[in-house]
Amino acid sequence: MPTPTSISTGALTGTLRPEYQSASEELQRAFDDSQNGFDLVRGRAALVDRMVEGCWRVQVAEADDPQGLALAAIGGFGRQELFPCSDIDLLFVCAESSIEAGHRDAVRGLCQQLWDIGLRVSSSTRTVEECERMSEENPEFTLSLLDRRYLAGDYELFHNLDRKRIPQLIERRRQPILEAIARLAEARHAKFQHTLFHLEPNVKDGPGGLRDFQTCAWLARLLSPTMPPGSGQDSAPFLDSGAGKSSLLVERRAESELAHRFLLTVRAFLHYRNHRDDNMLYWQAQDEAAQRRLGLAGTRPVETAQWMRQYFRHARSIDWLMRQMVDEIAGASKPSLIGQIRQWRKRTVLAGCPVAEGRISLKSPAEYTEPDRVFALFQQLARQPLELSREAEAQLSESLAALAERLPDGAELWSRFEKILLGPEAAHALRVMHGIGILELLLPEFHSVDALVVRDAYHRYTVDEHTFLIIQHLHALERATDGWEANFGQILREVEEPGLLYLAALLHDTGKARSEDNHAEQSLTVAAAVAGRWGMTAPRRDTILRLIRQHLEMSRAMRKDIFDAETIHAFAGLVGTPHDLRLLTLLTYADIRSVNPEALTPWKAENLWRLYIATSNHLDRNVDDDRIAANADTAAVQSVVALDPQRAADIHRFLAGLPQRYLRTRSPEEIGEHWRASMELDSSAAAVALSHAPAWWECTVVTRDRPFLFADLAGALTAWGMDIIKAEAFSNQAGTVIDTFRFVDRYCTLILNPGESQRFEKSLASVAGGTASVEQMLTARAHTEHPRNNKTHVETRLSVDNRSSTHSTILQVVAQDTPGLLRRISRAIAEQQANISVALVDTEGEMAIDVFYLTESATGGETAKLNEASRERLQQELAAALAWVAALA
Amino acid sequence: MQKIEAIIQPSKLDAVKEALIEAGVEGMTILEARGHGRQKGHTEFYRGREYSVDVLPKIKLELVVNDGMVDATVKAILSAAGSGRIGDGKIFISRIDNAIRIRNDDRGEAAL
Repeated sequence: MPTPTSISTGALTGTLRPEYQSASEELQRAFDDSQNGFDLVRGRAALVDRMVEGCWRVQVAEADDPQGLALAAIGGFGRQELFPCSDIDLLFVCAESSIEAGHRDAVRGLCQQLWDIGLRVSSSTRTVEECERMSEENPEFTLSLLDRRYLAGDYELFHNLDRKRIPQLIERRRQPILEAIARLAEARHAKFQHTLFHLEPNVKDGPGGLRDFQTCAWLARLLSPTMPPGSGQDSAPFLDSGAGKSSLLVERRAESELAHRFLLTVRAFLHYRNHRDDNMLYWQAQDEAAQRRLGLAGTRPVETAQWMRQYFRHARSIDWLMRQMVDEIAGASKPSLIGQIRQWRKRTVLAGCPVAEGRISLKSPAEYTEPDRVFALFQQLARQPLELSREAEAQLSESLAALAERLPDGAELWSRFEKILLGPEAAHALRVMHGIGILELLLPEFHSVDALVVRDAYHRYTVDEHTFLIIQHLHALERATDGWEANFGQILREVEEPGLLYLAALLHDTGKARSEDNHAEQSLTVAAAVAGRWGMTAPRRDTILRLIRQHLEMSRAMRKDIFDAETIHAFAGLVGTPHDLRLLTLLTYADIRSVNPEALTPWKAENLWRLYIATSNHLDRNVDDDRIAANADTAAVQSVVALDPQRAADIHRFLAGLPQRYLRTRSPEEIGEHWRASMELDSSAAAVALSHAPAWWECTVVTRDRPFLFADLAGALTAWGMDIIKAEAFSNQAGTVIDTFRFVDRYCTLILNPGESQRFEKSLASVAGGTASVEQMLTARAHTEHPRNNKTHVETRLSVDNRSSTHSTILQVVAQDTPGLLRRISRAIAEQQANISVALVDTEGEMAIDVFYLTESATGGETAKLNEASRERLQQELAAALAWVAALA
Repeated sequence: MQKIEAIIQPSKLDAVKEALIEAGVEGMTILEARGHGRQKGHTEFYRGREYSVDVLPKIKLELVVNDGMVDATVKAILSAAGSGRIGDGKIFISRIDNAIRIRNDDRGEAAL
């Protein structure tokens, strides 16, 4: 066996080292000029080939190649993709272990010499037999063999390994290899939260990165084990048409190859810039890449955000390629592999889809331009995390122009889009729509935040991805059963029109494309335009606009002392109503949660929750401190006066003394109707207005206040078999009350008997006017009542608070929701001669939460809080009245 | 070298950071914490459920400074974090034996 001499080794190093450095510098200059990453990685591979061959000649085989020993390039070097700071992966293949032992010094010498030249070598030595075995603990080695390439030594040995042994291994162990690929890809994607839309993406390992492209090549090689790695100018031979390749894959080959070459260029740039194997596209690197127009044709200057959009365009192509390869390999594999391969794409879990292999398709091309079918498709995607077939995606993309001409507009468009937003997998559906271009068809304004990078120390994702994550996290609350998520989930269940919340979430950051500093205001402009275009009613539009305008306020309040009454008071004043507080809390929760995976710490979640309950309690306990003054001239008051300016004085008189909450929770038109009804009270005792929503009925009674009024109205509703779920009672200075009850018609009386609505209204009016006996109504009803089967037990709690309000004693009752409960409570209050100036009634599941602001008569015709004796008597009476509830439980 | 640990109200964090930077202190570690001293918690009721707030949210700052900077650092924290009310927090000072910068093995005060 020839032994390398120290003189020849040193001389060789003295020759090769400067040659390597000079050639490397030349390659870098060429790259700086051409910005061609493909040429660079090939050029570096060829350069290192020469270095390795030279060292092999001296260290291992001066004259003839030794029998039974071959040298192969594997990994990136094997596929001739050698980046400036990448390791050189070498495999010494031995026919048997004795040959390995005999050449150990030579192998060590070769590797040392390569290090001396300036190359970072990562070498392994294996026998052929060892190469044929797949290790469960080290599947990466087997995968690296998929990119093997002969360098030197016993060619027959290598050829046997390359053409026979490895293909046989793949044939035998295809399933475990696929599983290993799937596991590694899943683990890698999980590190990046399964999204490619990071503000600072990883070009190599991130989703849509070079490793994904490589994974596609491996998958293709598993179908064709003898396929060689790429050579020459062919970046992706595995995309050539051939057995098992879909026409779709072949059609998009040019796009995939372009994306691959772009990423090669970016990674090469990062290596030269960072002088190490660092593949993160940090902000500064993005700026430089944009300045250099890296990977782009033409000479026009391009801004960083624009350049990054190009990056994401290519990453999306690679991502698409990966998903398509998964489909094709799963289709070509045995049925038992389908679940294995698709398991790692957790966002595309199969579920009983009527279309073959869990992919939704449309039956004929004509359907792709049919809005009904397209909306139905995405509503389905929003209900179940299914995938669209690639053919459907491609066809929809091509049909956008035709679809645009046939889209509905106005309220109909909103109605259909809302169904998508309300689906539990809405975020998934929106991502698919966005990727195809359909979201921008419905919402052109969203295009401005497509893959938008906005520099921020905390945000991790592009603006569009951040928005989708918010919607995803909100929907996840629906399924939360413990922890803070369960608390916030409860708030979500109380939101009456969650579609408005989701739409506000979708639009709240659209302003970032126009202004980073004041994006809320810019987003308002977008939202107002969308609401107008979709024919939204003023209250709905205003809800969305208020939420977007205030969407940063709760985070700001959290930076203050959340246990300080002043902070709560100020924040409550800003939010205004419990309804808006719920929406803002949910949006704040999801917004923080979507900044990055660590943003919503348990500490922050707890503070958010504390701020919510403190503010909610403040809003419920300070209603009567904040009343409309007789001469109030706020914008809200003016909007009511504008309905009939000539009767301004009457309107002011009506509003005087009502809580501000009344003004904030009703539209000017509703308030106008109540005012007009109050003007008729001389001729009719009460005005009753009934309205119907899909899940409940609501009636508003405008009448003059009298003792037992609220109790009688509650009793009348019970007598009609109605289940009260919410109620609000307000009174003004003039003694006019506006009582609103929201209820569920348990026996469908009103729906099944259309004429009953009028009779119902008349009945309530009679009760309000005191001309009908509620007791008789209840007695007539009693025999038809059946005890409820309660699923949960609610303990009865009474609290009497004489401090929170300056004018009233606040009574809060929490009890098992039962027919007749509100009647009993309010009757007990009336029997103690306490006046209800405000009532706020709510239910949460089977729990009734009733808050009453009570006063009693004082000297001089004034009213005052309940004195101590009155409070004690009231508590005793209520305890007795509510004992019946406990007995029913 | 001395280590300064300050437990402050979360609402004072921005002001304390600014005051420390003005005083010439730039390196600090910020931790989310909960705790109480004499400022015991309270019970909040919401929808019939009791939420006891027996530990309150706080921010803990940790800084290591040269001996000569201790007074200025403490003064900055006191001026920015104090409101005169229970719950303002506390400052603890302890000696540090050594400090090492991981990047380049600087030791002692050079590492600060």
